[in-house]
Amino acid sequence: MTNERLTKKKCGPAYFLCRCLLMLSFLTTFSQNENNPFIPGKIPDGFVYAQTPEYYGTYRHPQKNGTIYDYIDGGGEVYIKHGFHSVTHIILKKETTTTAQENPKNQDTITLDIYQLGSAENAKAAYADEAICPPGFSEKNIGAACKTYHYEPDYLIYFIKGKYLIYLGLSNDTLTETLTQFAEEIYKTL
Amino acid sequence: MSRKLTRRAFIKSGTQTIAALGAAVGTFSLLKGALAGAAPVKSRVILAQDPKAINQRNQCNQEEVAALFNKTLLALTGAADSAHAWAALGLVPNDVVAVKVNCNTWTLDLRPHQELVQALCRSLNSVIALNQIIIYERSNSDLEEGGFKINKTGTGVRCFGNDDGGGYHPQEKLTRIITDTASKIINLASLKCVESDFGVSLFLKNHIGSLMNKDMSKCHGDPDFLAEVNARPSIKNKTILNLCDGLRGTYRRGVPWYWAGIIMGKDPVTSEYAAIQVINEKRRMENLPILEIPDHLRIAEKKYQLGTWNPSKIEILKI
Repeated sequence: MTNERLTKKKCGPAYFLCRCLLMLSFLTTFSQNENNPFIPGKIPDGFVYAQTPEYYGTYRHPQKNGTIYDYIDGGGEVYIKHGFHSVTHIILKKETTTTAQENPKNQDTITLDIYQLGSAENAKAAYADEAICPPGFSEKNIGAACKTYHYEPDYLIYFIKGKYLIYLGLSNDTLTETLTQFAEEIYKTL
Repeated sequence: MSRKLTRRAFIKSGTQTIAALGAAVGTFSLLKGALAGAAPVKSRVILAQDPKAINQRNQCNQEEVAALFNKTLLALTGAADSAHAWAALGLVPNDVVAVKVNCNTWTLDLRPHQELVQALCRSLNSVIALNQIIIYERSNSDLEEGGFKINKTGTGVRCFGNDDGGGYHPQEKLTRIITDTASKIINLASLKCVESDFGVSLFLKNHIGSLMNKDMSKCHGDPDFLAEVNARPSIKNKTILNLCDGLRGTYRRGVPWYWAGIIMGKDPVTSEYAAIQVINEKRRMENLPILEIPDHLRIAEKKYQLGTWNPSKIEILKI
């Protein structure tokens, strides 16, 4: 192949399109890591971010904060089984109260984990897996059916949307309604 | 001076030698017989419960937890008070004690209760200064999430993560907190059923958090590695107590209950076995299949001689 042909080929529309697609793919990846689209736009009144959101991936594709094992150690195996790609981990806390200052265990928190499992089928299978969603749940509607668990003083919600499995955990069950509304908001906007 | 050995002298000295050897063998036989006659010392573990120690909202009563801890320690050692109990466990006044807590938790709060940690530290304080105690986990952020305050000052109980603990020992590949800084270790696990390849997350798995991050994942699917970590000299030789926070635990993955107790033993294998029995007791009540003895525990006993779970060699006391 001559230099002239090579130059023509490089400047052709197909080459240009490929470059654009590559750039788009890079930007998408970059924006998912640094400006994650799954960060909820609205968080419950009176709550603030306890820490910056964390992102965990797989061994092959670790995210900003490492792999799922860095987050939940061996507990991550079951998610791997269901096609785990990444998880966004967010902790919100109620604006500080005196009792929380005295004992951090009195701090009301909401934990939000959004697992990206690659496909809607994987998410459904994970949702049906008793190792993730054990029996003994009550069903609720937050726009779709969800599984709720009341383990005093904790209140947990699991639901799926597309390829995502969402877990919400509340450390103080007197705020159950707040968590339900937050779940509805996430379901709508995700 | 030359010395001629006569036939009589030879026979005499030979007879004396044989007599001496015979006496030694006889003494050895007697000693062997006496040892065989004595009841073998069993590996003791204490299961202690107090329903007043915690309520159904995961709130502890500090006094009750402290009393529960103290009576368990005395029952384990047979000592009359804390100072003697710690001495029986090998603690000496110049020791630095590293306490490995497990703050790695998700979906449910199963991190160690502060009231239990305080009871432990107060009790240790009967022998060593509070500043000679180090609460550690793999990172400062894990500790903070678990409700601990980072403290590297010269006052009070010290508390920091491996990421702030001076790095890792090049041979043992464990945090320098336990290889270099501490002279004794207390393994403070949480009562957790995880139902994966490990079945449980108790004493042996707790030391995954003593490894450098890149080695942590090696435990998954490799029970031998997990047992071997616990056989590394610093962990094997420095650990004086295994304590499990069972005030709130899980009997199946992600499902909690208030067992309202603690488990305490010197032998990590016996202690883990006893904790599995506690979980299995609850699983039977809930009509769930019981957990088998996990491979890492079998390997810890057979290959690394870290202790025993043989029921004929252990003594489980419920108080």
